Amino acid sequence: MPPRKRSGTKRAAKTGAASRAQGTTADNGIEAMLLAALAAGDDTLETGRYLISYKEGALDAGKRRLASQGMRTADARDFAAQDVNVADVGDADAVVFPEIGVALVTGEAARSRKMLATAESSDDEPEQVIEPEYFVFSTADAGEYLRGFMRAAATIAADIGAGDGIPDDEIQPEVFGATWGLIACRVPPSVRNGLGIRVAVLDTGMDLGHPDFVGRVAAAASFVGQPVQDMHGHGTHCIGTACGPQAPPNATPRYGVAYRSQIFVGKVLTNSGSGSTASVLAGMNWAIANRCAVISMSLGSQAPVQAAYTNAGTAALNAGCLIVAAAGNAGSQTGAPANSPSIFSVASLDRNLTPSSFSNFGKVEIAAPGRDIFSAAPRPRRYATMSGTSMATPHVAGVAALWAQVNPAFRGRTLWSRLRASARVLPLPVARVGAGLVQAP
Amino acid sequence: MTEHGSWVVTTSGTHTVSDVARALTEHGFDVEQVLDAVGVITGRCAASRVPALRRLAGVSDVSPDFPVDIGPPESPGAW
Repeated sequence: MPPRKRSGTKRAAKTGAASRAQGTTADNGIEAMLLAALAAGDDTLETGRYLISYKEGALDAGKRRLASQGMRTADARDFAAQDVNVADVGDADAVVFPEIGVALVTGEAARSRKMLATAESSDDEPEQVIEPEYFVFSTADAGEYLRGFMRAAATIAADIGAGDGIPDDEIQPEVFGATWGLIACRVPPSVRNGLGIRVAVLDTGMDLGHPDFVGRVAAAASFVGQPVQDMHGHGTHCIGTACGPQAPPNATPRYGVAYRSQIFVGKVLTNSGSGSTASVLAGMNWAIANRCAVISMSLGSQAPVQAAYTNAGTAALNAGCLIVAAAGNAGSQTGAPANSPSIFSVASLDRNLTPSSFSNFGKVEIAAPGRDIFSAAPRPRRYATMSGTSMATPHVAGVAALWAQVNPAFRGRTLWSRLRASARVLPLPVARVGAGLVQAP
Repeated sequence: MTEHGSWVVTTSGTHTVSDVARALTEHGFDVEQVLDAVGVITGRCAASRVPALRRLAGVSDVSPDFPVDIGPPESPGAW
């Protein structure tokens, strides 16, 4: 995958500001678009419009280009205090927001000019990226909002005799284009997102500049004498699965579970992938001291039960934290730390929901997708596919964060029981899959 | 074990972690980390001293610091 030129920080600022610009003043127009999108059977949360982000200093060139394509363009500077009601700009095809270097283009205008053919531009073009605009729900959870909206629509339909309405249990907002792992764990239909839940991932660190994670890292610490920045890839991939975004850019499928959780990055393995019990325990100590409800550890060794890990797991549970760890990939008995009785051990499943050939067995609490898992990778790659119980573990960590969001009582031992009780039972030995396939609330 | 290897000391909870760390120091243990939240102390000492450390009040276990290794980037997943 070619390196992307655009900085993540800029992009978030741009799209966020553009969404605010429309959200504050055009609520009726937005509702109408949402209704139209739902009527068309489109539940991707795309508005049908497109956002063009321009390169630094290329806005005027971009405006000239819009004009040369025959677009009628409105400029936010022509409105008082640049307070533009985007739903009310007459017959304009595009609205330019000079402060943030973005143009908002109608879907029809974009399609008729074949602007969507290239997602990435070459060096001599003013556009940096063209991407779909998404509905943004500022306070309420998007899923909850949609459910409420659809219930209201169903009630109105019933009132005017247009049918019996939509039964509640059929109202399932769904994101298309999610990884097989998320779909198997029933993550896309879940209305939970991990909001307010701290998730620590103890691994090789993270690509702190990855554009999919702007503003998501609450804290980061290294326990191996190297910067947190992930030069290995394993840590970024695991964080991607547990905490990645709801709607990654362009055609990238959704790969992350708890997309509004707070990420705590603990680097306990070096960039060559090595560490020791002492560095791992230091990370666990940090995560528990920070009261992370979920602590994900895709690491270990084929060692017998270690008292220090057991102690740490018990301390975590007593503090309302759940430590989730990978059983291991030796095709053998579960290794440490997952073999400790106070640590939640995760086995790996293939796409056909059978145990992965590499997955360890014996002491297993639950199973999750671990083969051919697509997730984040350090730039310039940005994405990668990996396999292992290491990839199964963050699926469980992310889902645990969703459950923790459901009820503040779902912490520690209660969260442990909840995950097992809600798992999808599989016709396979408990030693291979534990309680079964982890399921989102 | 090497002459001055790394060790992980797990406390039993009957004494404070800092009290145990002090006792370990008095018995020739070079304390590196005092991890209060998990009740663990790490550090270095000669293997010959370990049996005495295991008998100290408030100590439940003394084990060698195990290596943890997931393999280099692009390796087919050691963990």
